[in-house]
Amino acid sequence: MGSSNTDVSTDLIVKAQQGDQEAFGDLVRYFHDRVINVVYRMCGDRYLAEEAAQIAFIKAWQHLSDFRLQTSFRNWLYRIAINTATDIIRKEKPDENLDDIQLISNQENGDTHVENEERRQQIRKVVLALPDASRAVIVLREYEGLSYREIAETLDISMGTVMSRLNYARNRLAEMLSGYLEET
Amino acid sequence: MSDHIGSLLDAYLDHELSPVRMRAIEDHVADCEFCQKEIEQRRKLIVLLKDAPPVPAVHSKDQFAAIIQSQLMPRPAKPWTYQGVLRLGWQAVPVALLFTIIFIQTVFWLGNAMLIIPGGSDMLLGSIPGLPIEINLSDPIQIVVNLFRIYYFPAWDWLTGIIATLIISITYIAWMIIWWGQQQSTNNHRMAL
Ligand SMILES: [Zn+2]
Repeated sequence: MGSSNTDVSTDLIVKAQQGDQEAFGDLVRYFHDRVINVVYRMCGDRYLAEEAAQIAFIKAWQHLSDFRLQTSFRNWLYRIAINTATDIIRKEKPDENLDDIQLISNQENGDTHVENEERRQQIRKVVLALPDASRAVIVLREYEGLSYREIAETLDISMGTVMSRLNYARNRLAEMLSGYLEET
Repeated sequence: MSDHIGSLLDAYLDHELSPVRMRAIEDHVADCEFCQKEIEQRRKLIVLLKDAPPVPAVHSKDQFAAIIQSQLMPRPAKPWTYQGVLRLGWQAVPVALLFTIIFIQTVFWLGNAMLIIPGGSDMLLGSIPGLPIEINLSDPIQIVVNLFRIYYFPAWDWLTGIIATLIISITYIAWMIIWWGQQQSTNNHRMAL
């Protein structure tokens, strides 16, 4: 409600709504990193993420006339991106070991860099193991820094649901990452 | 001692509770080692999660935008809106002004040229079918009619022509300034992208 499009020119959105492809190109460039981020955190595979982001932007273009200017364009895009990513991972399970193979080949020197990398990949895996609905809340909160209200608006759920899903997700993650949490 | 922080832990850490509730929890946590430990663990988890591997990019931002743009199908524009009509009218202003200037100038010069050429005025009037030669200039309706029939224009003196041109030019410049202002603000937005 209160979140209007302060970060992007309403003018661009209006132009894109009227069919201006250049204006839409500007919007794509502006939101590229964030959308890629969200879909990558959702599906954990760079190629699936790329595919999901492309489909999401094309969908956004097709449904742009449904977007209401007084709401947040970013959150509207996030919703499309998350739904698209969820559809894609249901259709084709991401190849879980794709990014790990490189990791193992680097592991010979066994320094802290590799350890950090290993831990990060472990985190990526446990986040991916969460149910889609909880993962979406975690992604928007931890990686995109959205407030509870913004998450509720983006996913079209209540604030109470945001709280319970976040609580559930963090409890699960804390369990699965307990080894890292007790270390230091 | 009241209840432990429980499921409010996350909302508390994210500052998503009302100030009253935040205070109540702070008061409780100050004396509760169990909750302090819970909060400590949770903070660690959040830091851990945020330290995520960077997203490996397949395409650069510009490449990506180009791919998307190449796939865009022309979408039927939004149906006519009040704002859309206003915007269109606004964009038509300079064109309309330009045509008015051209019209006035043409008519003005043509009228004068015809006066200079001997018998030119009669020839011009004669070339317009259905125009009576005897025109009563005291009739305002006839004056308006004649305005559009060129005939009356030679009576326009230089001053009238200059004033009309001046008014139109000022309007045009004013439009340009407003347009430039709008363009600047759009550019600033684009630069912010
Ligand atoms: Zn307690």
